[in-house]
Amino acid sequence: MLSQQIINGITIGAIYALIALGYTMVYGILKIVNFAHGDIFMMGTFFGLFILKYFNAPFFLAFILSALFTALLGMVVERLAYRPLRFTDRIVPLISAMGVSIFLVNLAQLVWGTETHPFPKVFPIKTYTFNGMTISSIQILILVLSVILMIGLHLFVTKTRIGTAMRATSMSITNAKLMGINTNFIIAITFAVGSALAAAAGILVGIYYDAVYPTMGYTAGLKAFTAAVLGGIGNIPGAMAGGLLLGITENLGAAYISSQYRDAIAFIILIVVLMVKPTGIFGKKEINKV
Amino acid sequence: MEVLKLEGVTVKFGGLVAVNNVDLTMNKGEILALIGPNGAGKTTLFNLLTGIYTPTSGRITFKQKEINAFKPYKRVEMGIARTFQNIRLIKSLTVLENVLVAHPECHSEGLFQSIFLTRAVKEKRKRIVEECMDVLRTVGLHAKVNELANNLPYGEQRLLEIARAMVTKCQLLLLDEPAAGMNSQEKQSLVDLIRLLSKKYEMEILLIEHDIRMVMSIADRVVVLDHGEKIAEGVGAEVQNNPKVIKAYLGEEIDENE
Amino acid sequence: MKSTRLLKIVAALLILALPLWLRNEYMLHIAISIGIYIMLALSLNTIVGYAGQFALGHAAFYGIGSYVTALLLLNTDLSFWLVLPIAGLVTGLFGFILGSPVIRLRGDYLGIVTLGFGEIIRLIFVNWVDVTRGPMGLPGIRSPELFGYTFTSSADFYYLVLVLVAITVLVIYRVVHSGMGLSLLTVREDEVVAESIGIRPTKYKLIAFTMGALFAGVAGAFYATYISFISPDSFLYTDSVMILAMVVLGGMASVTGSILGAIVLVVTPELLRFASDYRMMLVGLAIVLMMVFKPQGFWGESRRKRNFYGKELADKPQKSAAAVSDSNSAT
Repeated sequence: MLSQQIINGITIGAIYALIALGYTMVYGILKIVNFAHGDIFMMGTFFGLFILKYFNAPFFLAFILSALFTALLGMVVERLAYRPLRFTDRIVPLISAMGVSIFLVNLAQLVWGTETHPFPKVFPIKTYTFNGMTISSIQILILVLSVILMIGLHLFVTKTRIGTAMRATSMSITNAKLMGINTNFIIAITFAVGSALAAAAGILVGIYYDAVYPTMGYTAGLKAFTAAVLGGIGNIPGAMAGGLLLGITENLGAAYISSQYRDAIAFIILIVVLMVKPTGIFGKKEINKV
Repeated sequence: MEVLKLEGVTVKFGGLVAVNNVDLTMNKGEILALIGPNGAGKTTLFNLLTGIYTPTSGRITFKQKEINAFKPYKRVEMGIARTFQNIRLIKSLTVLENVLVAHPECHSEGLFQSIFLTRAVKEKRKRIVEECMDVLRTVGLHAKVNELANNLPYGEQRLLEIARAMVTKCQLLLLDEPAAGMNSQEKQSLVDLIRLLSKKYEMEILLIEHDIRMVMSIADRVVVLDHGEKIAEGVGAEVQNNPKVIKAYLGEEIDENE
Repeated sequence: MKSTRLLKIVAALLILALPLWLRNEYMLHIAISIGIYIMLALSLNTIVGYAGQFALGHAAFYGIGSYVTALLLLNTDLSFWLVLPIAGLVTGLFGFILGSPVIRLRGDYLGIVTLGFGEIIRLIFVNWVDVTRGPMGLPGIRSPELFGYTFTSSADFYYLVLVLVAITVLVIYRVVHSGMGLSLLTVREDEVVAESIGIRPTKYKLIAFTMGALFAGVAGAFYATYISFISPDSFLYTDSVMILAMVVLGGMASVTGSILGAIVLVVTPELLRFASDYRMMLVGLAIVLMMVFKPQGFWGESRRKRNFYGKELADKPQKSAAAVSDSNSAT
């Protein structure tokens, strides 16, 4: 029973981690919380649903296409709603992000309606049982895909020129600019990559829960943000670890404490972590200079 | 009589020793200057005195009371106030408001007093404003009370910081490079002001300053810090001619050249 | 000066006589909604605008006030006039309890924590079925009675909300225009400075938090008795966002701004009814555009009354500014 809960927790945790990466990457560079990220994730899910359902596209093509569209959406949002506000008080981009969030949710409701959609059956569901615990083919798919994406991201950030420029920009936008880095381009890429990962997570959520609806981004976004904070916001490996940790704790909490308050458990963890160690479990301590 | 006493005060940030085993005393009514090269730990010492940092070891005594663990606001209540090296005024408030907010009775007004705003409260407010105007008059900013602090010229912003500290009714005033960015005329009136404050309010003034001429003309005593340690202490010229001090400021090579 | 005074009197009379000339239930309902949202926006502005605490869970406080009121009116014989302050105080207490640990957090973190708090409160409304009846909500909440007269018509509730709004505006106006208000602005701008002049940032932030929660609770209490049915759906994250949008669009740290923000954001969606499907989308868009082009809001802080504290005295020297500064430079 315990190991079963842990497997389920890892599955959902991997998804949280994928969404959390978007929060953490953007925060790493701009030091703002992209409140609309949850809704970008929702849009990504709908893109995937739409492409699979109406074009009967093969799964991996749909996966890549919806990641591309979502990346584009992320870049557009950055260009229109955040870039003009880059040098304002920090609360201003936050409010703007909420405007984007309201806009996207209502756009989705307008286009796809407020009801919950089932997700097309793209994979045969098989379950494998060993030692009394079961794991489904979908869970395996989720785990394999997330691991591939995370390794891909890691290589992208550490081994490529753009990735290096990204890390430089996250240390200091001004300095990066002085080194000849086109920081606007790097920021746009950061949004694109974060959004694409969110779309990937969205499709996996669609397959796993078989339920897609316009307000799904809110709770998922909040949970993913919790994961990002757990791992220390701005820290990419931290977000991955934070996602897994949150997924596991939440599942254990739902199994052994109360399933009705499953979501509340995540938020209580968030509040406690922020109180006790606001820089996250893997975060560095900031020194307050006067 | 000793008002302030530091005994073996040390503060470390990780491996860095910012202030190392400093002893210091200040007597009633004294003007003491704290000098030293950049990074000597002068501002850190101020932060220790105002409670932004707590010492790793050692003892700080103010008015015969150990204040090591006291929070900044508590120290203000006891009578320690400061100005900042990089001017920190509240930009969106006016000159008068910047001073008002530091007045102990202004920010301790009870909620119900504010809400019901009785005659007595109004009278009290009038008196508070009057007191603040007095201080502003002393520093010469009373004609600018309606300006936003941000719109004042640099030198006047420094004066406003002093006024703000004064309004807390402090006994010990810490001035962090009060003359930085001032021209010589402004510096002269600042020197006059500091002397006036010292005489009129019989307060102790500890100042960090780089302008040696100003320091010598105003300070009763000078303490020199270098690399977090006190390397010299004394009256005017005796500090100026101390070889350790010269070395700290000009480096090692100067000995060979001379 | 005289003409603005006249204008104010005329406006006050129009507002007082509104139910007489606006003989339309729907319009009165909008006017009452504006009243509720003015209370909510003003109370949030104390927290966000004045104390600079980016709180995102205001709907939770609104909900707590509503639920406390509904439960007390349904399960006890207490008069509404007693329940109203109780609801306010209980909500204020929640604000205090939530506030004490979280106000040390900075900016966005505080936002997320308050968001999480809002969500936890909503989950409690949904899942604590024995008390709240869960998603079915609480119907049949009593109307207030005064000297044997029961509030029934929209006009009755309009006057009730008018009184509550007047009290809220007066109290919050007085508080933010006091030494407390100056201290809050100082804490918001620079906590190190605040501490260096004897102000305890946590104390002031906590007062703002508690006061904000209290008035949101009062708004909730009114809402419960006015609508007579509440359910968890009335207190969603989107409501928190709308209240915040009112504060920001109206202008942070501005009493007038919050009033304007509430009016605009209640009326605009109604005016957009012809575009019913698009209206929330347009509201979202409007918020983004406003942030891009006019981030300080309709009635920003730059219009704040300067030197409100001891106005008479502060005005004097300016007239003879030149003369005084001459005599000063001589000394």
